[in-house]
This record gives sequence, structure tokens and C-alpha cells, in this order.
Amino acid sequence: MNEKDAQFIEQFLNNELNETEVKTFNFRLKNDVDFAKEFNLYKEVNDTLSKRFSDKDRENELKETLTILGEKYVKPNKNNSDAKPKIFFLQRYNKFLVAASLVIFATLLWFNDSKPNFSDYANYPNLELTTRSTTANNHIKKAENSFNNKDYEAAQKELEILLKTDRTKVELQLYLAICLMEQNHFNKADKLLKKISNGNSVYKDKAIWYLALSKLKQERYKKCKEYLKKIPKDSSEYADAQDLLSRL
Amino acid sequence: MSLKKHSDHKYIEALLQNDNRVLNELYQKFSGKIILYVTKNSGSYDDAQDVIQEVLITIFHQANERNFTLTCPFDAYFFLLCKRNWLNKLNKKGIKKVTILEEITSITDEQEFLVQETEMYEKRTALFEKKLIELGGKCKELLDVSFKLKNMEKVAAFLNISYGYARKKKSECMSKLTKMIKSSSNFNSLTTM
Repeated sequence: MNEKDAQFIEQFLNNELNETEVKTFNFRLKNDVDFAKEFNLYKEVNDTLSKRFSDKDRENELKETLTILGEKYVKPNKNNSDAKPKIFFLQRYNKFLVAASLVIFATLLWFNDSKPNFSDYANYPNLELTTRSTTANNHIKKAENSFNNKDYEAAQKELEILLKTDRTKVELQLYLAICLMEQNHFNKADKLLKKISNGNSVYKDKAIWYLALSKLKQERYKKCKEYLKKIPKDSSEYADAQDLLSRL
Repeated sequence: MSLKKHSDHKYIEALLQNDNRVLNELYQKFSGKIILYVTKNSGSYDDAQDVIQEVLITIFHQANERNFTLTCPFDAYFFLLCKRNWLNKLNKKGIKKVTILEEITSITDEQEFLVQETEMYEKRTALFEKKLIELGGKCKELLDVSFKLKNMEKVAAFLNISYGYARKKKSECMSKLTKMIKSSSNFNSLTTM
């Protein structure tokens, strides 16, 4: 589509054409198949993305509910006997969530655009695994190459293979969580990061930082802030955390 | 094809309204089969949770953006969407071996049609979002703001540019975006149904 046509379509969609121009527009729509196709795609993209962007808060509220329900119904060892009181609790909790989200929604409505982007902070150190074993060597190389080339799907696959033989290696778990977060598998990523952040490894603070980034990517700014505040002053992530906090 | 709204459309409404009571019922009634399918086919409970959530968000998008109407029972429609979502993930991981649980899959033509429609919608709109990210730079920034704020006068004020310039830039950037979408290798296979 040339830019003149795009401008014509934009003016039509915004009701900015005069009567003669509307007639010309409708004539072209009826008689010029290519123009009609361009118009339909332009309108579809515009309508779809406008709705999706403006309803992001509703989507996030729904995700909150689905995450809670998933924890309740999908995880193993949940039985009906403990479900009933939880229904009551969750209904009340959800009301609180909705009320809280409405307040946040109203606040964010005008200021949301000034929020920092996930991509501004998603700079990871290269994956350089020092452990070498003859059987895992090939997978280590592949994991490093894929991760460092930002092919997170391939890196995830290799890291999962490596973790089968070395389940306790926290560094692998941390990088696996980053791969999951990059692919928007937030449930799995957050679970893994929480596990690392609750441990005592050297990756504890990094895990909290990435949990904050995960929440940033999900546009759950309140949760993001909560994690950022947990990063101690002597941590190497502290400066970045303070910078992000100041922008939220 | 009947366009009559099925009584199970209440689950679609529940997604739109974030209705905790009906969504509880949805999970209680329908998540079991999906958990069984995923965990019998190389998946974990976390995988099942992700599959269910992703599919429900897809249905939410379609209902919210396209007034989707459910004309068949939710059960088989939802199960088939989750099943295909999981099979796609397995396929990406290179896992081909699948345990078929035929007793829980009885699909009518109408259900099959609705499933295809939802899948097509998801892929088509995912392409729009992907190309917007690829567009990047000032164009993406302007489109992001104009999609959120809608009113171009507010967009211009927000970006501290003139109204005329904002409008001109928006159509220029939309022109670039639609070109990128159309030139994508899979665009022609993602027709609107």
C-alpha cells in the first residue's frame, strides 16, 4: 500500500473526509479490488491491536484469576475436601484483586505509556558453562551458542537435557528460567526463579532480579516493585534495581 | 452452520467478565481431561497449567476483539484446542510419540470448525503483534501509543508532536506494518474465516 492510500484510509476511519471524498473512497472500495484488500487489512490490524492494547489491564486481571485457579485445580494432590473453604477465600480474594486492579487501572490509564520496557533491562550475561563432561559436552556447546544468539527455544531444549544429568546446578536452572521468561512461559519461569530466590546460592539475588523482570514483562508493576525492593544494597543487581524502581 | 448461542457460552462470558465463580466451575469441570492428556503425553502439571491458560487467553482475545459466539458445547471445543496446543509444543520439542486417548475425544464438524477458527485467529493476530515488534523504533512507539490512547490529539500531546505530524506518521507506520504482515511467508495461509 502506498502512503497516500494509507493516509486516505486513516482519514476515512477517523471520519475526517468531506462528502465528495467519502464518495470517492467508497467508489474505490467497490471498484478497486486491491484497494479494498488493503483497506480490510489496515482496518483489521488497527481494530485488533487497538482493542488488545487498550484492554491489556483486563487481560492481566484475567491472568491473575487463571493463575490462582490453575494452582488450585491443575496442581497434583489437591482434593475436594480442602477446595471448599478456598472457593470462599478466593472469591473474596478475587474481589480484592478486581478492586485493586480497578484502582491501578484508573491510575495507569494515562501514565501507562511512560512505564519502562522489559527490553530495556533484559540484558543477560553470556552463558559460559565451565563444567565439562564428555557426555554433555555437545549439549553444553549448543546451549551456550543458542542462548548467546538469543535462540531461547533451542537453548531451553539443551538446558533441559543438561539438567537431567545435573538437576542441582543452579546456574543452569537460572538460565532455563530466562529462556522460559523470554518465551512468555511465565508460570514455569516464575516457579523456577522463586525456588532459586528462596535458596542460598550465589544466584539468589539474580533470581529476584529476573523475577522482577518477569513481572515487568507481564506488566504487573506492583509485583515488579515488590521484588525490586527485596534486592539488598550489596548485591550487583542493586543499581539496576534502583534505576528500574525510579522509573516505575 | 447454526449461529445459535449455546448455553455453554456462559464460559466465554465468564472470561470476558473475569467471573471467578463460573471460571471455578470451568476448571472444575474441564481441566481434568486436559491434565490427563498432557501428563500422559510427556508433559508435567505445569505444562498443563500453561496450556489451559494460554488457550483461555486466546478465547478471551477472540471473544473480546471479534464477538466470538460459542455455538457448540464447550467441553470438546476446549479440549481439542488444548490438545492441539500441546501437540504443537511437543512437535517443537521434536517429540512425536503420542498416546491417543480416544474415549475423551468425540468431535463434531461444528466443533472442528470453531476450533479451526479460534486457532486461525490466534495465529493471525500473533503475526500482527510479531510484526509490530519487528517494526521497532519510532514507528512502533507511535503505534503503541495510538493503539492505547486511540484519540490522535491525545497521542500528539503525549508524544509532544503536532497533530498533523502524528496523523501523517501513523498512516505511514501502518502502511509499513501492513506491508511487513503481507510479506510474511505464512500470511496467505492465515485467512480470515
